[in-house]
Amino acid sequence: MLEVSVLRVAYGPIVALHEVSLSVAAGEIVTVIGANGAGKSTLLKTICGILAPLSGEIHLKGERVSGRRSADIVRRGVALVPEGRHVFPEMTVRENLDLGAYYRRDSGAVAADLERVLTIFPILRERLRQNGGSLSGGQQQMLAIGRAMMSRPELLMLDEPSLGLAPAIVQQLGRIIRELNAAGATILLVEQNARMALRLADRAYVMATGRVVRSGTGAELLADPSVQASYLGGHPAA
Amino acid sequence: MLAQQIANGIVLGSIYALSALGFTLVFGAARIVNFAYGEILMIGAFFTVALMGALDIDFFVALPVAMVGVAALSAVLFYVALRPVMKSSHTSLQAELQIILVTLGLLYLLREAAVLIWGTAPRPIEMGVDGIVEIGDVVMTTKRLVVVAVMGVLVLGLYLLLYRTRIGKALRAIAQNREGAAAIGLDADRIIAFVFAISGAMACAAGSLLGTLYAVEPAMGGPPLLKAFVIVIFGGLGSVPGAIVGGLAIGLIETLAGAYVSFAFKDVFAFLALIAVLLLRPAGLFGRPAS
Ligand SMILES: Nc1ncnc2c1ncn2[C@@H]1O[C@H](COP(=O)(O)OP(=O)(O)OP(=O)(O)O)[C@@H](O)[C@H]1O
Ligand SMILES: [Mg+2]
Repeated sequence: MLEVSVLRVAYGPIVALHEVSLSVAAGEIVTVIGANGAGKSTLLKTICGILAPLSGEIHLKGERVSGRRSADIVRRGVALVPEGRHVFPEMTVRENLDLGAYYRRDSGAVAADLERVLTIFPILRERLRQNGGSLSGGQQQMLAIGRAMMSRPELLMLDEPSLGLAPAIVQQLGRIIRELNAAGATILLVEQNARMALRLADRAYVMATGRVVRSGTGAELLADPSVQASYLGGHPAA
Repeated sequence: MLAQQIANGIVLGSIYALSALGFTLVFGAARIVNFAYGEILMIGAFFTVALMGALDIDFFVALPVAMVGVAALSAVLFYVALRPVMKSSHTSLQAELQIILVTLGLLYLLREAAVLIWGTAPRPIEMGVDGIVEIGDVVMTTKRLVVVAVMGVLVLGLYLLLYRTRIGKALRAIAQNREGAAAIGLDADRIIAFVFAISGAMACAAGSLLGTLYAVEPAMGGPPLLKAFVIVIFGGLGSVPGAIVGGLAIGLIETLAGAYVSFAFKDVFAFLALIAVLLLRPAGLFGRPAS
């Protein structure tokens, strides 16, 4: 599904990604964990075309997409749930969701997808006419995920969806990510909540200062002493 | 007498509101303070004059054509002068400073261009609408009523554009949350170019209407820019209702203060009102507090 090879990305003089390579197969849940500033968000933004790489390549379903505009990449089936949710605060829940389908012309299928989103997130159905900014943090996260799903992505990328949410909501989120995956979406999940992410993931990558420093199955990394020390140590079981 | 002054204030306020709308749209969507905005307004007025003269057409025919022309000019200026700066700067402070310098540069460029092309002599715009209207005690030239009507039509059009069209929704989305808009793949460049076009059209209408009441000249852009600043801060940065209400309010305050207190100090009252609003509501009448 996704093939990232020796990607190098910089913000002006600051190099954020050095030589990042990773791959995600269709149907997988892959997670990327790492400390603050490791470059996880930069990676996702580059994959969906918000940032342009200095060098390296990104292939999606065999087609090279690096250097394309994000609108093209969204149309090719990639959706991003950004870190910090970033819902549109003064637009209704309905308008937020509609915007997720901005590039789609198949209005019948869009209506069906809206129905599906509202079934997965019943709270959004109740709040359809309310402004995005009036929702709680957890609800906004649901809205951000729903908005991303409205583009009917084959690859759904989530950037720290558990950030700032109560443990019960985080658990619910984990279940929803599994469901979406079971329904056919390939998932690339970035998390600082490493325990939750590694439990969900088929495979995982560990990033530090712009590089991939470890990779393996979720179970392998959960059991790895160095990963435990660096990324699981301070966290209570989630 | 009071009703008469209120009517006069609404006419002035309508033009203020129109000029502030174009200014606030660009700020809201692109976070750009366009110092060249007053000059776009001036160029718009000259476009209308030139079209009327060259093709011997009516004001109401020339105005929409000029609006389209200025919309195109404004979008081109964004692509040619502003977008490269935004792309090449790596920090937002650097970008903001460079954009301020570029729009200031455009200010002088456009003004000098107007002097070279059209000269400095003021030219009136003949709307071709004569007569007066009497409503109760209020007496007004029909021309001034038309100014209010044009503003009403354009505000309605803008509302429909923002709330009823696909691109309008995308525009609001970008204004409300840049990162969210990027995440769903909205093309910021194209949408901001579109905002510049709409802004240019609004400026052209405001400038041309000012021209029908006063005259068109290369230096006419300064006061409307300053007014737009005051109104946009008064109403809330980037807020569309804020620009409309703020424009009307400042128009009314100036007219009433000019009539009843002191004509020479009418601007002082607008600024006093601004200070009062900012003390009570630091984000402006319709502004959102920074989160
Ligand atoms: N807009 C920016 N301008 C300059 N440097 C940036 C910018 N965004 C990120 N960086 C830098 O790039 C590096 C990687 O940042 P990134 O946001 O990708 O990390 P992250 O792994 O997502 O961190 P977090 O867990 O805090 O979200 C950091 O050193 C950061 O300071
Ligand atoms: Mg991040």
